[in-house]
Amino acid sequence: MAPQQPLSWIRLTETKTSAAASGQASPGLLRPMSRQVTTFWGLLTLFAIAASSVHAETRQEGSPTEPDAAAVVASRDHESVASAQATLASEHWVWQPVQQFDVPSVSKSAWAQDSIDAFILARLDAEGLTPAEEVDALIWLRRVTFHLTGLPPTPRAIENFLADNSPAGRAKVVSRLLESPAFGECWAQHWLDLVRFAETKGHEQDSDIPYAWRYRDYVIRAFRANVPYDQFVREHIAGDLLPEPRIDPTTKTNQSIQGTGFWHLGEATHSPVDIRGEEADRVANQIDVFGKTFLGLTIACARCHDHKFDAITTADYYALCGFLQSSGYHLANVADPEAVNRVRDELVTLNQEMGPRIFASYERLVQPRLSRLPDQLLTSASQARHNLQKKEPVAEKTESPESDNDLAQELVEAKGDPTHPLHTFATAALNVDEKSSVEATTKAIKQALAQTESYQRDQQEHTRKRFSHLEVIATQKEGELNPVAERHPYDPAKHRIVCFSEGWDASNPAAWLTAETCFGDGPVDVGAWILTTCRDQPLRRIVQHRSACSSYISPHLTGLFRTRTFEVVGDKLWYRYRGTADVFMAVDSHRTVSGPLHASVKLKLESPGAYTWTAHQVDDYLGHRVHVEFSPTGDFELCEVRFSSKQPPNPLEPQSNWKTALSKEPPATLHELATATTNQFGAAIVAVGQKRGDSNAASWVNWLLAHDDLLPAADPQLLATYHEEARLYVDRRQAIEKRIPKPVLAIAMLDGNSENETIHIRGNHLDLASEPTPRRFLSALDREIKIASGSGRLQLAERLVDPENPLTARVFVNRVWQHLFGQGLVTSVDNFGELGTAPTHPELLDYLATEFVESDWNIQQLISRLVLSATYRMSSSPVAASRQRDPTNRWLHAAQVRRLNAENIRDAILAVAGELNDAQYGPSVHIHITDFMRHNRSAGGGPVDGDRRRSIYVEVRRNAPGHIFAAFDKPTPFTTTGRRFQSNSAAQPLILLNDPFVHQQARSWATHLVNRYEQDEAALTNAYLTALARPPDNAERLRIEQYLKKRLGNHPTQDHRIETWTEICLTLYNVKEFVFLL
Amino acid sequence: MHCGKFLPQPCSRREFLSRSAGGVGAIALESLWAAEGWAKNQLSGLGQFHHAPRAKNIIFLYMDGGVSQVDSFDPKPRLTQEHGKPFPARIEPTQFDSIGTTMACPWKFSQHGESGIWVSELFPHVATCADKLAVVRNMVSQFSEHNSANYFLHTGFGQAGLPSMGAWISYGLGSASANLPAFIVINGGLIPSGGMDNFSAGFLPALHQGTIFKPQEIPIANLKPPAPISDEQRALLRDLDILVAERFHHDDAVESTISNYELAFRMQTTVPELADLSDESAHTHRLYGLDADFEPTQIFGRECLLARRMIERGVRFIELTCPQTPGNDRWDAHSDLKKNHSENALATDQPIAGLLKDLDQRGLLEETLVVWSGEFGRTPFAQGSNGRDHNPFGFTIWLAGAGIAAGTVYGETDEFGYRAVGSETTIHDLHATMLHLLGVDHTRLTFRFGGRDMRLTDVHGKIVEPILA
Repeated sequence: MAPQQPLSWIRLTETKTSAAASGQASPGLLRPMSRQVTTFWGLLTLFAIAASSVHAETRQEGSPTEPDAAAVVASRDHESVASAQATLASEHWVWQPVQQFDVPSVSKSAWAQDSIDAFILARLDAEGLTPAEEVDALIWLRRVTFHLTGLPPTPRAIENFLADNSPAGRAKVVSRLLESPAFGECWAQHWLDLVRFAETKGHEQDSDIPYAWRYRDYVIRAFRANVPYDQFVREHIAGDLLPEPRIDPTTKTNQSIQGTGFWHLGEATHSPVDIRGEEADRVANQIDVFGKTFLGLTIACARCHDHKFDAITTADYYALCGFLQSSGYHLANVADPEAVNRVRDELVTLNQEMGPRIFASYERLVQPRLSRLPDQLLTSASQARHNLQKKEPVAEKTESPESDNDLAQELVEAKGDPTHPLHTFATAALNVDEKSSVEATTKAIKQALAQTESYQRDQQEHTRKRFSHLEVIATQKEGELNPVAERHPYDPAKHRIVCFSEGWDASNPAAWLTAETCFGDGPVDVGAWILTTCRDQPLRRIVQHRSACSSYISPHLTGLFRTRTFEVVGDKLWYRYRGTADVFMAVDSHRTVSGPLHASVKLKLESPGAYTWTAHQVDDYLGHRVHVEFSPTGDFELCEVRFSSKQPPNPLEPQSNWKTALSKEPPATLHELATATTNQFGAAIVAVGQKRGDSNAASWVNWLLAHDDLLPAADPQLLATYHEEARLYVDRRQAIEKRIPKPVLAIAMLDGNSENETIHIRGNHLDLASEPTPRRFLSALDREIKIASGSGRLQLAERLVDPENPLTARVFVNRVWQHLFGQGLVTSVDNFGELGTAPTHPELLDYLATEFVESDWNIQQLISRLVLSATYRMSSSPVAASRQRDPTNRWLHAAQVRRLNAENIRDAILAVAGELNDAQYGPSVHIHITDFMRHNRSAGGGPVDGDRRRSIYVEVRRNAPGHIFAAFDKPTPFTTTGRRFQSNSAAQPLILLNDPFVHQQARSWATHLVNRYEQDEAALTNAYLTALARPPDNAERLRIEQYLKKRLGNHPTQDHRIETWTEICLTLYNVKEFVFLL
Repeated sequence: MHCGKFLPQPCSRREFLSRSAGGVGAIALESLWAAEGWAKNQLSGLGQFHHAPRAKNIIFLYMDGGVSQVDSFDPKPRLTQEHGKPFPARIEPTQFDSIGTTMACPWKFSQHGESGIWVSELFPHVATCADKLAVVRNMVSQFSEHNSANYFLHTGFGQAGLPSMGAWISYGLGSASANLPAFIVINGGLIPSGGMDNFSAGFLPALHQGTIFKPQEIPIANLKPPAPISDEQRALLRDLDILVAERFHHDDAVESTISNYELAFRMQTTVPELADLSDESAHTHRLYGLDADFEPTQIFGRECLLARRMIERGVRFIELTCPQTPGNDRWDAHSDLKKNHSENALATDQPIAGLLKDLDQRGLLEETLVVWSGEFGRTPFAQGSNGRDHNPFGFTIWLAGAGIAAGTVYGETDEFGYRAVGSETTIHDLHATMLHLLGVDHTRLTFRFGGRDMRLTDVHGKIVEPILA
């Protein structure tokens, strides 16, 4: 709590009464915000001015007065802060536990169909109001069909319903609607409004958010599958961490992890100059969406100072930020996790089973060849000498077998490479010739051995020295003019980010952070065999350094390895690895890289053969917190990540092991030396085969594996046996690998190490508190959370859905209520705080919340219950006396006339025309770009009719909001919008009258009608039933018949009829009842 | 402290409708509809002015990409002295991180009019209007990137989704036109970086979003149907709607939607008439540069002339975007400053001067505020060899017309024109001043959203008094 104190003065020093009285804050009290603070999320100083009178009003409505502000100012210590918060918390209804209320007894008990009705009626009784009459059956049907599916009822549904509109018939309709795919699509859209769903990031480039549509599909599937809401919430917060993810029965994909995609649907800039500032804004948006969506709280208001009105502290805000700092974006492979795990296990078992057999067979194949190696070495040495003397290219002018010649070439190279296994032999052998005396030869051998030994000693010494002389340079480029290079001695604790050999602590979860399966459960040890599906040589190589290895199980498995989050403290970050991978350094969690600025965060690693060091120039990010991700693009092994100004030494260069190899006298002849060399190869194979191979043994065997063609020819019989073993293995392995599901990518969270965020003083990310704030839940709701490792999001999720939390269930049932009744019991659905509105029916709200939790958070059951209630069946025509008494219909004495939302309007246009494409799920249809939307950065647009798909499948581009959607109040996707406007602008009639899409659909509708009905009268009835779920009344019928008569005359052609009916259909699209529900 | 409180007295929705039938159409309909329970606080506009307005309308000349201050209105001889040498002051991080040497202005500056305001050769026509301008040389923004800076300039916040200044004005003041929206964007071809969100209604009702208007025969979307709609068809619709209104027991929302159709029908005649420039004199055409050789000049000339015609018809807020000039990316002169700025100036200079003079002649400049601004300025040092990078630390805008102290220069930058010194004028200050001139106290034009009362000026903004008449 310590860091909170200096921030709290803002709320404490201003007295609400003085601000209210003057309409201005006195300048001394409200210091201007820092210029770096650029967003509105947390800047609530405004409240002191603009909202104070509102606050005062709220207070007057009956809650006790604010703690004496002046008194609090006097003692700005923790105690008073805490007590002020506690008072706030204890005052406001929203923090109170959900209470159990008895169903009230009411006047007209026959009216009430459900306890819900009793609550409503009791209130109406108390206010002296009479509920409106029950609505006409067809109006109810149209109402419920739109509310549940976002589409109009079909004439067939109308017919069925009219046959049985009893309570049982109504229940049947509701079940049918709840089971329809359209239900999922309709209610998913409500949810997408909350999580500011969009498929691009906005700003200059409006870059795609890849696979955002999968999140949309996830939501649709979840509503269709009636996933309990608590599970749905868990999945959003921590679906990647659930021990048992929920699997979709059709696609077999991991659903749970996809819930976490919502965190990443916000906007993002591609080249922020102030990268940390951009992060602070992004995180603020995430917290804002999180707070409003799940808790109905404006938590992001506390970014700069304690919330002005609600019991939310700045510390609460930054405590929550820590959960995000400990997590990161991940494009996850969500394909059938059970299948992936099964295949992985089978592969592991296969390797365990067959690996030793393959190795043994390899050993049997190679050892006899090794026995012939000494002779071949001598021949090749002679060849090499010959070639060198002639100074001719070795490959030409020689009659010896090719392998001898290649081996001769290898010896020449080995002589120059002290780390080569044949170095000592080559050095000795190439320093003498056939004419050399025995003494000279022995001397040369001694020299070569001594030289090798001394090299190795020097090398070890040198390496040690280089480690001790290692330094890290950090160049401060303040202002670019006079960069200052600071030198720091190498400090493993600070500068070594990943190292699996030294300092590797298997018990530290932050040291092993991976996604998916390819890196297995931990680093692969030295001496492990890497097997492949190469039929000639399935034994690819032996692991020389303990590493994160992507192909130990199978290169077809997906995944990535990431480092813990660390601070950039040097100019260069070095990676030691072999193989190929893409590197991404997430700086302050920035992802949207494009253009020159920040291009350096990406790097390609490519060293297919040897272990190597590659430097990543990171001096632009000194002082920033980063983590590095390695995504294998082939076989990949990562050994180390560390800061260093120069290339760090190789930790373990392969060493010849002459001390062990030469038990007696040093070899006197080249033959003896060749034999001793060969023996080392033999011993290395044995050691590796017995799984006790060290780094040296691994390197010797790797040389053999890589240079098989240089060895003496293999025995055909043994080779055949080896190939047979290989075939057995490869066949089985390929059969298993074939079952690895094709990757299915979705946006997700990936857990990192535990990171806590530090309070940004007054929301300024350049002005930090001294200590980070530990992650926890809101202080008003029993904040502590025990987090052993990782982000702790799972624990956070559990706190959200804990029945003790009074908010989650209340907020959700209220949203459902709003969608069905037009306004929530709490009308400010996204803000249950002080500046929101108090519930009209607090008992009912708590009753619904309790029932909801008790029903196992059953969403469909809740909806079903509400739409079958008497309250829902009220007409929108109020009883006159009630209208007078309660003109705003606060107490719900009648239903509300409501306009359809944007998607419903477009979908209804298609559905009524008989053109709606009922395909479900999948990538979005590109948005249609009209001439008036198009600009020089517009992406290529989609078809005018959106492929006739439902609107939820039409792409949401931040920089190109669909013109129909925008005109009819689809919200801009930038934060949670739980309640849409129903505005009235000229663009709306212009669209419905004139838009090419509407005309196109009117024509299709007319064509269907004319083709189907020879009689205009029948066509008219069908048109009305389809569009308005009722037959035309007499006046309407007469008026339209009059129109038809005038336009058509007596013997109209088919074309003429279609033409005229197109006019009528267009007119019906524009009749106000088409977009309004009674 | 909601704006609704400034309504003299509560009036019934029906009264409001009849009262506003002749004039403040759109806003009245809006309020009408919205005056239901919860929405009451959310949708009503200002109702009345906070103080006597100086300006009725605003024309915002948006110089997309950012004009260089040191090449236009803020002469810096020191740059000529240091030309080609390393920039001798501390440099902030830049967008492209390709920092060249100090770069002199390639154009000559001279003083103009009685006020003696310095204008470079780039703007010979605007220079003749120097005595109408108030040049603000100490502007600062908070963002070095186009998008955030564009959003910031338009909405007062550096991210998408918030209401544009035109939307705020539409929300606060409504439309003074029975047939046109209050907020129109005349798109010369360049919708700024960040897209339509620059003109968005944000969390305000969609009604207030900028209507895109193109300088062409059918200037707004969906004005003309693909197939003509006959009077008979309209009559059919009207008759059916009367029956529907009955069914909906004359619900206000339904009835105001019906009224709204009348507005739409009216727009179908008034908007083409507005866009038809043939009734303007040859002199006027020449004044605005409609006969210019350079096509972008003609385009921007039409935009400016349209803006004047909209002013005459009561549109509150008109934003003009620049035309595309060949081979240039807006005013965004990352390379070849000379070509870029010459051509963009050629496109806009004469039309802007024409607009100022025409407004003046007609007496409209007294009630119209003209604002000329980009989202930031440009660096006094080169990007690469001959471009300039983005510079939010000090740049120049100008204002003219209603309530503006003509012929003034306010604020200054350092000797390189890099940073504002002494004092700064922020985007919030600009917004506060614009609202002030419209008779609106920027601290009191609020909208409850997301748990707080939002403002165009967030929690900032002070009126730039020195430039006010």
